[in-house]
Amino acid sequence: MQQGEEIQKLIWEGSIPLIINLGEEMLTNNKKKIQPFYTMSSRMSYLFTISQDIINYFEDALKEFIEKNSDKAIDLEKNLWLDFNKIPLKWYQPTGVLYDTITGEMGKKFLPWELTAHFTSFPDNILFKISQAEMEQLFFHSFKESCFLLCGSTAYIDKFNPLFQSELIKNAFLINQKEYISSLSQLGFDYKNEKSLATRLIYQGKLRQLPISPQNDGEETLLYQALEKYGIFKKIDNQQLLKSDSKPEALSIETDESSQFENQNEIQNENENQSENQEKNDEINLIEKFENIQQNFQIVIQGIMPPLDTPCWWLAEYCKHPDGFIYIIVNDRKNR
Amino acid sequence: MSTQKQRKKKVQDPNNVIVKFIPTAGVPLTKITKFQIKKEWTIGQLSTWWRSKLKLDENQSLLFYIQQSFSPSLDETVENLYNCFQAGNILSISYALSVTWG
Repeated sequence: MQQGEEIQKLIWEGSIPLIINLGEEMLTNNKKKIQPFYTMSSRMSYLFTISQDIINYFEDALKEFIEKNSDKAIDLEKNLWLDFNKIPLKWYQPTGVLYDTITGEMGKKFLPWELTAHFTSFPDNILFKISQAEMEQLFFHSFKESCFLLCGSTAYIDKFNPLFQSELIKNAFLINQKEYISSLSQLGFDYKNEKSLATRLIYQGKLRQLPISPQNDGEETLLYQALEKYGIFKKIDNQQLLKSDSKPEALSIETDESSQFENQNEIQNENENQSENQEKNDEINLIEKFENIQQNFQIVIQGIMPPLDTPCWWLAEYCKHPDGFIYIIVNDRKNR
Repeated sequence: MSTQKQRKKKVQDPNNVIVKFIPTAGVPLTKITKFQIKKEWTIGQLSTWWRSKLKLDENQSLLFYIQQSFSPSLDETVENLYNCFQAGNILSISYALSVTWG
């Protein structure tokens, strides 16, 4: 198995242990303690997919609540929302992305992840209510959006029969990696040579989205170059970056016309040495630049911190989420 | 001394982008189709505003499509869509009252 495929398999197998408590407002009998719901959620999936399990687990407590509030018709599935430390979770975003964003901002890991389930006071200003069918459509349209960014059209998806759509959604939600990859392979993407790659970056709670070209002037676009396109490194001390960008004086190419070489071989050797020196110094500059970035930011993709010189097409091929987007989570280190 | 007419050029607010609304079959039409929209608006906010422009009933659904292909999420920002799908500095959004591009 190739390294990329092995990593992809491990990523798809990643899960987050969850402890889900019922919100205090739902407890009608204070004396009765309700045991929390323990479960595992795949990092690649959506918290939405466990909503029915949560409702089923708290069935008795919810019955009591509904009886006491019989004047209000409550659609449990549509009104369910989860929070972590009173932060409402956008559960139509992949679970791993939510976890990495929130715990990353707080600067530490919370495992198992303790969440609270609510069925009242839905935070309409932050979340929107969504049904199972709507969630499936939302996922598929997000998938089409990423495909459009990849190759500028989705006509080839529309030509597949409706079974393709339902299979893709089912395999994505149930985390059937092999079947999902098999469905995806029908579309024949070649990430290295597509028009652009679909990326989403979450920084300071804000989700941004940009198309990133897999190649730039014939060279592979690397992760740090994609991050530069998002402009988040502007916050780093400019002098630090200028220092690492500037070329040492020893590298400056001699242009004095009076300097002549008697032997053409000497010129060639000198040029080769200069070229080697240039490459070495470029490497040193890049290492310094990476150190600067890593001192200031934590860059996380799929729960891991990939090297900043990872080619973006590789991330798209092996580290994308089932909706086709690469989610890059950036957190400030200085705020901790 | 000849007088010159000074034409007032409408300056675009850098916090806004131009959005063009493209009707699909059977939808209400508007005289103006291009608007300056705040970049930070979500599709949910844009939908609420456009519904009021079209004077739609509460029970009528309104769907947006980008590139006649996909429907953006309600919490996706206008800025994100503009950055990815604008053409000629205009973000074109098709609107429909029923599912048009599945």
